[in-house]
Amino acid sequence: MIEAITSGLSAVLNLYTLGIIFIGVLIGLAVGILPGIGGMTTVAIMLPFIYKWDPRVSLSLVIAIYAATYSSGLVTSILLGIPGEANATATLLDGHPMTKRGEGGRALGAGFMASLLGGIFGSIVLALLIPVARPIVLAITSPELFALAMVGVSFIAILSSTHKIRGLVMGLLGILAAGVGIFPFTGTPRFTFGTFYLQDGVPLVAVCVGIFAIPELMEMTVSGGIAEKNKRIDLGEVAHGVLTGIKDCFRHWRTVLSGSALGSALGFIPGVGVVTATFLSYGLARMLSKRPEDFGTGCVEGVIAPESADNAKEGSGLLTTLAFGLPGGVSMAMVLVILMMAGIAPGSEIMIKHLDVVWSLVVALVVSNILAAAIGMATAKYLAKIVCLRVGFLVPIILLLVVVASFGLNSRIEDVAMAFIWGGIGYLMKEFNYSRVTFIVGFVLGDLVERYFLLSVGTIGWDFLIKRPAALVILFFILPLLGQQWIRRLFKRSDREGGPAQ
Amino acid sequence: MKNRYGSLIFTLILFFSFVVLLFSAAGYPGKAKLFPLIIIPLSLILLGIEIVRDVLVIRGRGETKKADPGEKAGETSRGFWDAILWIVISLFGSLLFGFVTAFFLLPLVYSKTHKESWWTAILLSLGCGVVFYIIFGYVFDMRLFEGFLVSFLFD
Repeated sequence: MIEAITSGLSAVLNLYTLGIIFIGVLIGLAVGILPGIGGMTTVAIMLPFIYKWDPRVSLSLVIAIYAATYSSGLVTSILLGIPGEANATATLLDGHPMTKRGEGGRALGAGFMASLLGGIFGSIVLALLIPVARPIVLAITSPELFALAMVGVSFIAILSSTHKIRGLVMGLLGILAAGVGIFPFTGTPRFTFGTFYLQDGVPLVAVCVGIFAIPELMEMTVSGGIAEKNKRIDLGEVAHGVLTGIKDCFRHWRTVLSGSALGSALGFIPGVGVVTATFLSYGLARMLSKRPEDFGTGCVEGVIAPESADNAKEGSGLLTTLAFGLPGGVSMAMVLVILMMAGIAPGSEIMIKHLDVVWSLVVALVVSNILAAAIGMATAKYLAKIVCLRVGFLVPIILLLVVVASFGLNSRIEDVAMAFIWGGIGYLMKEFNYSRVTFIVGFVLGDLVERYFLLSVGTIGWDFLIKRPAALVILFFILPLLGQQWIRRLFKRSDREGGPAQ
Repeated sequence: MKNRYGSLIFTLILFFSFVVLLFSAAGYPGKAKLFPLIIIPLSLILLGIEIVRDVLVIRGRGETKKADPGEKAGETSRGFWDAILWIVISLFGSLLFGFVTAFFLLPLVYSKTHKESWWTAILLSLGCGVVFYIIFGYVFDMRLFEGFLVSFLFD
């Protein structure tokens, strides 16, 4: 363990990796502000260029991009009332009224500081739980791993999407898409339809680039950006009050603590998005506040609570991703993609053989949060100007990046075509509420799910779920989630029926 | 939902794709078909439910193809076809003329057709071209596809 910690520390705390993290933070701060381009699209485009790197470095870059994206989304929320990222929507409720009152700088200071403290809290939770997770990971075998993977896909399908059945279909389609190519157990080509190209399987990078980048690009072109060119930002106001905001965070330490704790707890549940976490944290802070009526009118606690929750969530999300292969959301799905491309399977392999990678991520998370907060606070007034950039300029740049990124991995023209085909499918998925994230999670976990299933059937038999009740118990977690819609409807109906009688 | 008819058509396409996959999987030997034959029928059941729900909504509410009122709908539609056009242009342009030419040409053509001044278009084009060439050609040491036209003319 000590060796893994020192190795993880030395992998991150050197000039090269710190430089990479610094670049990642700058990229994350910029894309977090631009509506339409998020961390997801950016990381998807970067995949082909970073997958060959040492996974500790490439994952540090990804962590830095996400940490900075979560932090910077608050700038436009607070200053302009436009959330740069969906996770900054809750921050807008009190952040923007503070700006209108001339306290934009204070809100920014509080928001960035809360993000930093939340991020550090999440990293501490991750660090403390690594030794706890190791024996659990070692104790679980293929039936439990199969059950965990199925639960992971189902949780993301059900909790991250408003259309649960469609989410589940996408998860299953992802699992099926992962099975395209030569089946390793028998050497049979599956779903290749006689083509040589598909015998290597569907290229993960081309799918990720296509499915995430192209639909966003189309949306950006259709909406024409946010057209906020005429909105004036009073930059003079922004510079003042940052220090007061930082002090506010320490004054309201209970709000920071409760937000971070809630964010960390929710991070363990796959599919609970960062938006849910921020709104729940906002609600909790309001409930615990002595002056709940101030919330929504420009109360600093309303900025602190959601910002501390969203960054804290990443630490626990990383743990479930690395230890059990259960990505909490799209950011963790991308972490999983990079791990799989580096040939590192989540679970016992990473927790035992590559523990240094886990520790390097803990350090990267802390460093990224510190850098994101420091740079964000220092440059907030300039960052806000990014929102005035004509999004149209970005269209040809992103299109070129999509072409080069999909070609870059194997230098195959077919991969470029594949990315654009999946881009079209991704657009339709987005348009008709078929969850793309669930598809990717299913796609990434598909191989493992099938392998665990066949191993379980081969070694234990068809009744493996009965012989290994722990796996059955894990699978039972899906049931209340599946039934929640019907249960809610039932309650609503009984309320309606009971209504007039009262 | 933006358009129930569109949603129904997409769900039907997915349903029939799964049916094709089911027939393909049924022909595989032993272990190779085991997992797909669990996943595909489950997906078909779920898609069946979605189809029924879509049909019920369309028939029950008499919902027709919804369009945004007037001008906004026209703008959205124009934006959509504009996006499709540029995706096609960039795909075929990059493959035909090669990546290096596309690095310079695509931003120039895009900005000029979007009513930017010549100065802005040239600056964007030069900026993109040089930065992309340095990043991908030198930093990442990538093979930059030379394009079918160059291969056809010089090979």
